[in-house]
Amino acid sequence: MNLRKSYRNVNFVMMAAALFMLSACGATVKIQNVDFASPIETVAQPDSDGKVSDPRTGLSFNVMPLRDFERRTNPNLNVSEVRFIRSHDGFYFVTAPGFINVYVMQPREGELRSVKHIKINENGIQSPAFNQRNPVIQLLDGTGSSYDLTKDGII
Amino acid sequence: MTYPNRFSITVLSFVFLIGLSMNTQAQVQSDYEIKQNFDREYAEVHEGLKTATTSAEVQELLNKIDQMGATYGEHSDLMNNLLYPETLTASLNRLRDITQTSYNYVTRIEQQSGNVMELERQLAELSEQVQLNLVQADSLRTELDRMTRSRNANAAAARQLRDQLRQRDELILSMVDSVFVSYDRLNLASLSRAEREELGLRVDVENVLGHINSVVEGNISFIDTNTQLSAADFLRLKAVQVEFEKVWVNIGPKLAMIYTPSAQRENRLTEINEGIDRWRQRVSQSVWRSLAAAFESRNIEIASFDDPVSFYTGLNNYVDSALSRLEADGGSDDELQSYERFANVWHNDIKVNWQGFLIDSEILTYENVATIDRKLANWNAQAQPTSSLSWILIGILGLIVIVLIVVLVAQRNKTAPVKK
Repeated sequence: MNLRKSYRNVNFVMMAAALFMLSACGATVKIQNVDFASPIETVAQPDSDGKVSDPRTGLSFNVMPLRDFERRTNPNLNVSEVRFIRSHDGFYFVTAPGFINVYVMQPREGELRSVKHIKINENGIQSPAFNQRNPVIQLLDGTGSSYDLTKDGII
Repeated sequence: MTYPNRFSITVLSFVFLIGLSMNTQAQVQSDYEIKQNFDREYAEVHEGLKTATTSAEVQELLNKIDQMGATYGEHSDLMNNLLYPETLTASLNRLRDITQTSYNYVTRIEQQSGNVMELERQLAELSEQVQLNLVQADSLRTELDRMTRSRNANAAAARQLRDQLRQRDELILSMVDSVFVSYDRLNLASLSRAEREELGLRVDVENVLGHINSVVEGNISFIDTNTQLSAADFLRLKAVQVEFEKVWVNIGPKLAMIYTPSAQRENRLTEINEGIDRWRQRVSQSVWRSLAAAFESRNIEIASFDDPVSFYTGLNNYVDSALSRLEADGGSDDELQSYERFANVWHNDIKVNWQGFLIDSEILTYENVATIDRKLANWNAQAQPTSSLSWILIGILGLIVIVLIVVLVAQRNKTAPVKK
């Protein structure tokens, strides 16, 4: 009986140790106040598959989903140039000439997921350009107008 | 309280709108575009450097860099971020340094090109000058050949004339020595009329007086046409003239008595005497002129002379003045040079080439020459510059003498007996 009791105690200790070890392995380090802002936008021409890349940061992605989304309202849209910039809080702002929207994309594991479509011009943005104006992203539409953007929209 | 009127409000509104517009324009510039423009202009400067060949072109690039500095300096924060790890200033400075180096290089090349062009121009000028000189040299050579031929011809003619004259002079002198002198010894008064006529028939075949007259006139003509003969030549002619005249003075009247009828005798004698006078004057003028020129060409300033006395006086005075100068100032290098200049003429020209003729012409005597020789020796001795070493030696000797005197006096005083 005592042997069983002591055996139970040993199991308890071993389980506690295992829980402690497991909790130690799963601990995360968090760095706060990170500024992801890139100083200048990237202007990239998509290849035949729609892939664009930024050699400075190593970022590359396919612009076809965005084009397809825009073609819902402008079926004849062709994407010859893509402009994107990363804000201080890590969101990518993506657009292209002729796009109606600026897409706020959040980087995830192996993907960029839009968190916001900021509608700029129903007729499409003529010549968009992003400027880093931390804490906002400035959008120039090529007609002399500018818009201060955050991940939540135009402010 | 005053309120702005409508016009003022309108103007202020307009200014505000312009300012707002400019602000908007300034704000709407794309950073990417700025960077693109910067990269393009930077590349343009680089490309410009590759093709620029003149300093003006490179200067334009330097101006462009300055302009870039002004333009992109307004976006220095952005540019510094984009150009990291370099900065806008460093980037432009690097570009400016390269451009400045190119400017210096191109400028140096241009200067060297300028120098080369200048040298080419000078070379062309010199080549042209050389060609001109060659042409001139050819013409000068031709002229020289012609002059040489002419000079040789003249020299040959002069030599021929001189030979002819010498032969004639020798003939005259031999005639003077033989025939005239023989007649001089004759005692015409002792001859009978028949004897005189017989003598006249024997000798007057060649018309002796006419021949003498032609000799005189020939010599005058020779002197008149040969004014460039040397002093020695004129002196020789003078000697002949003197000898001829000397003999003529003694023999002429006797010859006239023998060979000339009494009616014509005076006229013939006068004619020949006048001819001999002209001969003497012409040859004397030529002698003095040639002697003066000879001294002048040797940079010796003798007082002007036109007869033997003034010539000798001039020589004497020249030497005497030098001696007086030396007595007053002592010898020096200049005085020695002055002596050597005169002594050179005296010993090498006068005594070697002219002395015999000078004496035969009765211009100078042996005593005159000896006197000048003595004075020259004195001049030479006094003209020697006194060296400072001589004065030092004299001073030392004087000092030694004084010391010896002092020592002797001191010893004499020491050895003198003391009177008690």
